[in-house]
Amino acid sequence: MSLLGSFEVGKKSMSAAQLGQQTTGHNIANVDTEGFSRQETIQETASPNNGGRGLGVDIQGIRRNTDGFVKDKVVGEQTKVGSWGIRNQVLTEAETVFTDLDGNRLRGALDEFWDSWNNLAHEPESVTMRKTLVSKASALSERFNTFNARLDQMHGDLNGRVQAKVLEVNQLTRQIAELNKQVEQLENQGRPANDARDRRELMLTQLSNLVEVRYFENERGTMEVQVPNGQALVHGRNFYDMTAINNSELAGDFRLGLKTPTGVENDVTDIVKSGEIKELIDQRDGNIQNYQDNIDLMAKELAFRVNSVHSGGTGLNALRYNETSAYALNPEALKQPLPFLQNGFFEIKLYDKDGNAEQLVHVDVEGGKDTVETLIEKINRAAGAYEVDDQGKEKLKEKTPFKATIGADGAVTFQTDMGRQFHYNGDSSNALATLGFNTFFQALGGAGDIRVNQELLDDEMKIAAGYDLVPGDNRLASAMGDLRMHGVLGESGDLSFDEFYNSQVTDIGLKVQDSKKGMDNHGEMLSQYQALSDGISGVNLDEEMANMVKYQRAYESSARYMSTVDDMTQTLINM
Amino acid sequence: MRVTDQTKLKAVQGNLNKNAEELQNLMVGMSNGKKLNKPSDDPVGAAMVQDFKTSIDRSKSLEKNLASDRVWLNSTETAVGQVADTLVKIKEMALKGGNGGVPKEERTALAKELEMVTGDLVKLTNKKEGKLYLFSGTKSLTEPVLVNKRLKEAEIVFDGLRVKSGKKVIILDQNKPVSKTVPGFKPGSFTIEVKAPEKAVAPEGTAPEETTPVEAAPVEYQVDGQGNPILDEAGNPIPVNGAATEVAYQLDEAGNPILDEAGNPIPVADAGQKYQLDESGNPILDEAGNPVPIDAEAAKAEAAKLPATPPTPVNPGQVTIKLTGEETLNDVVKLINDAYIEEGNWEEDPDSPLGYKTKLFAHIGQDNNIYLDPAKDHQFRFGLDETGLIKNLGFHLLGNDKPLPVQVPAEAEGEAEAVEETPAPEGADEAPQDFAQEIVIPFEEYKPLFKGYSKENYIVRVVKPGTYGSAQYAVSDDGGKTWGPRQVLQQQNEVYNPDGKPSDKVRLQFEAEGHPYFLDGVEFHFSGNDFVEYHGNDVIKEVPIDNGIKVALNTTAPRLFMKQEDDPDSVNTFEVLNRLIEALEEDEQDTVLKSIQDLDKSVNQVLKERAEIGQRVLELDSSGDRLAQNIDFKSTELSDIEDLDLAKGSIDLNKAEMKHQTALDASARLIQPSLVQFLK
Repeated sequence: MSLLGSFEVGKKSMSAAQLGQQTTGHNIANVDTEGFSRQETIQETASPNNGGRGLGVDIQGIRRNTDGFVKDKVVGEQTKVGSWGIRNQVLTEAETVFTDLDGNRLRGALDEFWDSWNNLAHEPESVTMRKTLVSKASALSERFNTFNARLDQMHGDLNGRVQAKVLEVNQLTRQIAELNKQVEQLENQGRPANDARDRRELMLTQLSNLVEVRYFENERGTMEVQVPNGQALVHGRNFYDMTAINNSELAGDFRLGLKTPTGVENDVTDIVKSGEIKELIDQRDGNIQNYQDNIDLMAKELAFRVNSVHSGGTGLNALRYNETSAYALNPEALKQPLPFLQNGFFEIKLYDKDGNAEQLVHVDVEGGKDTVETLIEKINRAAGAYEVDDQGKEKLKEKTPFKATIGADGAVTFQTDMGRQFHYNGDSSNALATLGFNTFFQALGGAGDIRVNQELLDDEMKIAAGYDLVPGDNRLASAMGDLRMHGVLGESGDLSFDEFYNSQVTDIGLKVQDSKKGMDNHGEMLSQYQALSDGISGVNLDEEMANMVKYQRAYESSARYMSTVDDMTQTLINM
Repeated sequence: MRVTDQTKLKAVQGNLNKNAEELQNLMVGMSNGKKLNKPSDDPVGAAMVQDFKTSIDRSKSLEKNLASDRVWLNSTETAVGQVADTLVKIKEMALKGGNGGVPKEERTALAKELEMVTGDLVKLTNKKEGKLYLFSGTKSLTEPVLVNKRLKEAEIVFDGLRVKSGKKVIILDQNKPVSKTVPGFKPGSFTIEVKAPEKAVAPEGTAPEETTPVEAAPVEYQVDGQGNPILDEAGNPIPVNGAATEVAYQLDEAGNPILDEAGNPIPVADAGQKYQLDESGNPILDEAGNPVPIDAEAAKAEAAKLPATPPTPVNPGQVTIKLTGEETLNDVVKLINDAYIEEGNWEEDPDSPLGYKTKLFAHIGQDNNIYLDPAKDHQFRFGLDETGLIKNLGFHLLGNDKPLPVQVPAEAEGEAEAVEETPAPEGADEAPQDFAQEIVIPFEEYKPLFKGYSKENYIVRVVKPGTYGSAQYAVSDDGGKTWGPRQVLQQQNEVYNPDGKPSDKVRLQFEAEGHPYFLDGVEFHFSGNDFVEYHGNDVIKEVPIDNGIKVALNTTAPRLFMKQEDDPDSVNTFEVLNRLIEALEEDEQDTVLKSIQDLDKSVNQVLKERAEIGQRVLELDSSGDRLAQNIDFKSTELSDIEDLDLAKGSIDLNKAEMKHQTALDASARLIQPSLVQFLK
């Protein structure tokens, strides 16, 4: 070989050093870039010619340092961290609604409500006590309403977040698809697509935070991303949208959907088992809904029990000419046996226009059998309101001291005539409360709806403390006090209102604690895996410094070699 | 393992974050002194905290209730004590007067004093606490005790008829001829009919012919002084016959006498007794109203006032008055009355000053209306009226504004229809209307009131109609079986039992304006009342003072002062007192002594109640102690769970701070040095 061949060796050497330096520079520049994998030049000896003389160095390529196995672990753990993080966040927020440790919220209002009934039992003649009772009852209703409103708001928030995160998912899948295209193109031309792959992996990690995915790389270099049952999110250069499914049945509660290549929307909510979006949906339908349902239950039960006791009672100013029930039933319901009725009876006492007691209308009730229509008939019969007309049929008299009628809207009306008045004289059957007479609370819609009967707000003298029309009768108010300790709620039906609320508070406290632990644990694990991953792919500046020095020396040495060979050639030429 | 810059940075950041979080929690705890700020800090503890808070609040509220309950019970106790003292004082006073030989003036003075003290007792019973009465039971806004000097409305019973003209005729016109004062008057006659009541209601199934003879020939039955039929032992009315003891008449099951075809009652013993009959087959009655037997034409001569044998009325109870038009209204009235006397429509009445009373009495009242008063229990109707007088004056039953139907002659059809204003039932022109039925009329015009108290029930009945000073009344205290002597009715009358004991009397007074006319037979009923009336109820009010514990809060006036069924030693204190006062005035030693014994019982009764109330006060006190203890205990527990131990908190905070500083130091050492600094 001639001396000229040595130039080649030198040239190659200098190139290699240059490239190595450039790569080092690339690494240093990207020390902070997320998802960046450290790159290294791969150097090999050039293939020797015949004779076994070395021909220098060849750069085979730039290698990207990454470990697929560790990356897998990171992606998987990322999903779990996403789930637990959301769970903790949602529950902590819900906890603030329950926090009542200084007595200013629901529990405090409930206590004050019971206390004011107790006060009324001690002073049943008092107007002041009634005013206080109305005010405390209104405050309690408001607390229920607020409680419900805040949980409702959370519910709505969760829905909004589901929508937003679905959009995020779609952005990520689009980018992955594009990167797939780039990688495929570059690698077809034989060039390494290291940075594109890095970015693609980053997108994938972010995506796995949001949705549980499966992925693999196929022979063309594209990454396939799928939901656990195999339906594709990204397939080659194509990506398919995720959607927030909403239809009339769901009434605003979104579910997770994925479009197929033909455009069909599949509901994948149950297929995706973790990730932020799934967790949002689970919390919304699970814990938040449960708490809302339970508080609703508590409000309705409280209203019903209080009404049950109050409906048969008589206030200071209780005589009235007529009353229409608060609840109206549709025509089919009028023929159904009324719920909540027990075997017992109720009585209505009639007074003539001078205030003398005239008649007692006594109605026996059969629980489970009596319908609205049969009750009306019994009442009218007991009041003597029927007469026989010309055809021998019974009909209601025009003028009768007392009668009960069903209006067109399904509400029941009690009516007297000729200046007569009536009041209720006890009800052991719940009939009056179920129909909606002389009620204290109205809570048809649960906690969001509970309020004090408007009639009592207008005239607190109608609040009943007893059963007789005497001012000192306090038996009803005492019975209310007993209701406080009574067990009515819970699965076994023996928790009092206080105990039930306590169970909710304890429940959410434990769940928050639990979610915090979970979040911390998985966060730890993620850190570990990331450290492992970093260990392989991360940039260590000190290392790069050393490399920099190495390549600089290599370059200098190569340059010196070149000038030496040059001198040698000069000598040859000058011979 | 290869450690990169990223790894180092992340580790440093993570640790610093953890420390910061810990510090944050401690800071929050130190600043508000609690270690339990949200349920997740201590879930079970959070629930317990809520329970403790509830319990404390409830105990505090109950304590407040207890305070007001205690005030109430104390007032009650004091009042009851005062009552007991008063009763003891009364007893001492009574003992003074119970000695024999105490002069009248002293006794009277003592009685007066007792009356005053009794008044004090009533005031004590009506004591209030704030707005509410102590002893009224749950009717706490009603005054418990009222002394019965008050007015009690008399119940009026009268079941008769009175016919009143619809138009008044002023005095000036009463003496003018009716042809001028009554428009539409035509000379003619009018008929009035009065019918005696059907005696002894026949049960169903009685053959109709039994009743017919009663109508055709009214059989008179023996009546007592008040006009009630006298019944024999079998309950049958005894027919009036000449010799009641000698001849017995056959009676059917209903007790009506069986009459033969001639209309005579058939005597039991001999079937042959015949009686005088007139042309229409009615038995001729003598002045006593007895059928005159054919055999013995014994005519009893009455006093000279009456005609020797009263003519037999063609149709008893019916009179027809002929008018020419020159008569005045006063004359018309007199004519009616005379007609009733003449035609035999009267019956003997030894109590009456005239010796008889007629079936109908007409007069012009104080209000210038014409009144027609049928005798008691009689029915009334108008017959044919040719004169138009009856129609025009618009007679109606008292209490009913509808004019009575009157038959008009059907002369010209147009005229008859025009004149026929009265809403008559079917067959107006031809058939006679039914007799006006009995109705009960509310006689508010008397406005009678009873004053005072008495244990007896009284019936006051007017036995001679008239107005103040002319009417007379009798009193019965056994429901009408026996009657006291007649007395003149005044505007105020003392009513007391026929034995004449004035100490047990009430006063009946009339508040009507003017001089109302008292009809024969009007009755005023008084039902016995107590010396004091209780207007509350006997309900004991129970209030809750702790979980499930209730205490009774009051006692009622009946328990203190009235006889209780289940306690034989209880007495009606106010009755006793009233009796005592009266006994002192009347100097009745035995009653005074008995009253003193009863007073002992009264005192015991009151003391028993006081003891019970004292017991309740103790119960309240012990309840109060329990509540206070509960508050203390629960507060301690609450604090243990909720509060941060400040000393511990301080130390923890210091530790955390130190940890943080150390971490910062170490982190600095880790990330600072780099190879770059060492390369030249």
